[in-house]
Amino acid sequence: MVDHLTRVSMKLVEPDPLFAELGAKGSPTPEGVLLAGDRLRDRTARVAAMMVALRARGFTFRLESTRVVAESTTVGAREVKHHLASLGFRGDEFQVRLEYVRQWGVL
Amino acid sequence: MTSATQVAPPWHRREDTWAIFIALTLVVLVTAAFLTGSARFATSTALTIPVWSSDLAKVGAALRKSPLAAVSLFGVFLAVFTVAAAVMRWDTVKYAAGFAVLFVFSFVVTVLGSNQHLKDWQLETPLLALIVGMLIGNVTALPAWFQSALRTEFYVKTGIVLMGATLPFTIILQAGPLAILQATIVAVVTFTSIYLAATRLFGLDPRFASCLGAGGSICGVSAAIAIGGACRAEKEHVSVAISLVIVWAVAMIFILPVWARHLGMAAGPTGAWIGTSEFADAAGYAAAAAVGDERAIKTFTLMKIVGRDMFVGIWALLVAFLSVTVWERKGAPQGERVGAGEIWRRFPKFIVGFFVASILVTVVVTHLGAPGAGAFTKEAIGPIKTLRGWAFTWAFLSIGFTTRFRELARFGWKPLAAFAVGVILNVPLGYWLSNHLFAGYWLALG
Repeated sequence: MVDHLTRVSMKLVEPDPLFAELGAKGSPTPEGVLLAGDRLRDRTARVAAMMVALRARGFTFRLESTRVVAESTTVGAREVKHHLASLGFRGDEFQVRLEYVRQWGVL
Repeated sequence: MTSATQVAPPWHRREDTWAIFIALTLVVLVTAAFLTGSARFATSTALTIPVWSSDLAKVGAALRKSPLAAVSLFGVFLAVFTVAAAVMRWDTVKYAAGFAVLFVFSFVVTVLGSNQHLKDWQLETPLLALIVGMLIGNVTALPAWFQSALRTEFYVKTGIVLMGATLPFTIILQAGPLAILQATIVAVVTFTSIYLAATRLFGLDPRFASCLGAGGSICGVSAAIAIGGACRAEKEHVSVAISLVIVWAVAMIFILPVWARHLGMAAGPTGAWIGTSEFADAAGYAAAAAVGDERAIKTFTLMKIVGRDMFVGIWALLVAFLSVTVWERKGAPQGERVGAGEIWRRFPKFIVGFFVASILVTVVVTHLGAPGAGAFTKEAIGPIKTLRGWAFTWAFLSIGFTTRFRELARFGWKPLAAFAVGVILNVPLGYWLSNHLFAGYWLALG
């Protein structure tokens, strides 16, 4: 009666903390930029690790601005959420959205 | 399996976009034809069947008077729907063939629905279309090419945008706040009663209860789907909620108009009651049309589209927030974000077309002044109402053809009972508000 699409949105960049850190001491410093780079690397590594876990479940990926969006029409939203949590990913590292669409013909 | 791209098409391949575009184009063309003195263009395309009693001579005479009207109506809609089908990547050949057959059915049903004896029994065209579709759809196997033309939502949305052109924006502004108030009272009471009955009495999952509550209180199938997504309900939960909505909605199409007539209700309050207590747009239109008075359709539209449908996004946001913070017991720092963007994401976009159509026509009527407005109502709004009627007839045939009672019967007694609790409260409350507390208001609108 309905089809579903599960979307997992993973931000590659969390701009506010990074840039707040950069300018925290008045003006940006080379050390601050390197630190921001490290954080960015850590963040992208986490996203890549989530992608590996999701790819194993059959998710496909696309880039949307500064986010990687994983999509599946077979895996449920709660299932993927529990799966990512069981692998140690925090709830604020990803956002799960579920869309139902009626199959055509339904009132 | 449905691919992701099929589930979430881009804006230019969505039914809402095409329903808005087609309906607004028709409104603009009909208006332009009137303003340029070519109103005959519109009246010759908007095929009307006269009311007849015992012999079809009157119908035959009307068809002979405008021999190209049926062909013109069919040609215009076949062309625009097929273009839309091509962009939306439906199989256009199958769609066009299926629509041709659907049109023939709609013609026959409209002729039958114009019979005075059937009208006396409140069997107007929408109800007949539904009955004919259900009878044929449930006893025969329909070919796939025909089924590809049974696009209920597409026709309903087109009809609703056309409906906007028949409802002056001044009336929407005037009656909108009351419609929203009445709809909110009933929606909150119904949602809460179904939710509490489902969770406290029958021990159902809160997400399941939300789908049932939304289906029974906000806007039927669309709400069950939106809320199901927002709170991440199971697919089975959404399917059961949809089944219950359809079963009750179809029952209400027959019950509410007959009941209103039995109670001696006036058309305005009857439309408001139907708008409050019917679950689905199409079903509500059928029930309102069965009253046989345009005033019932007007007040139904105000109540259902303006009072209820618009707010599905806000309900979805509330339920998504509840889902994350209460049902999953997570605080904001650990939990996921629920953005206000949810409201627009869930907003039924065809309602934008409904308002645009209403504003457009209101501006034209205001510009024309009193004498011109009368002619415009007759020569432009009249044909738009007729086209709206055809769009809904295709929708009701599609609903009938695709409603499989065997498939709908797959739900347990607990969700059925929880839903019934909501109906038991919703229907009398809607009656009391429409026919007593706010009766003067709905009567004045007529």
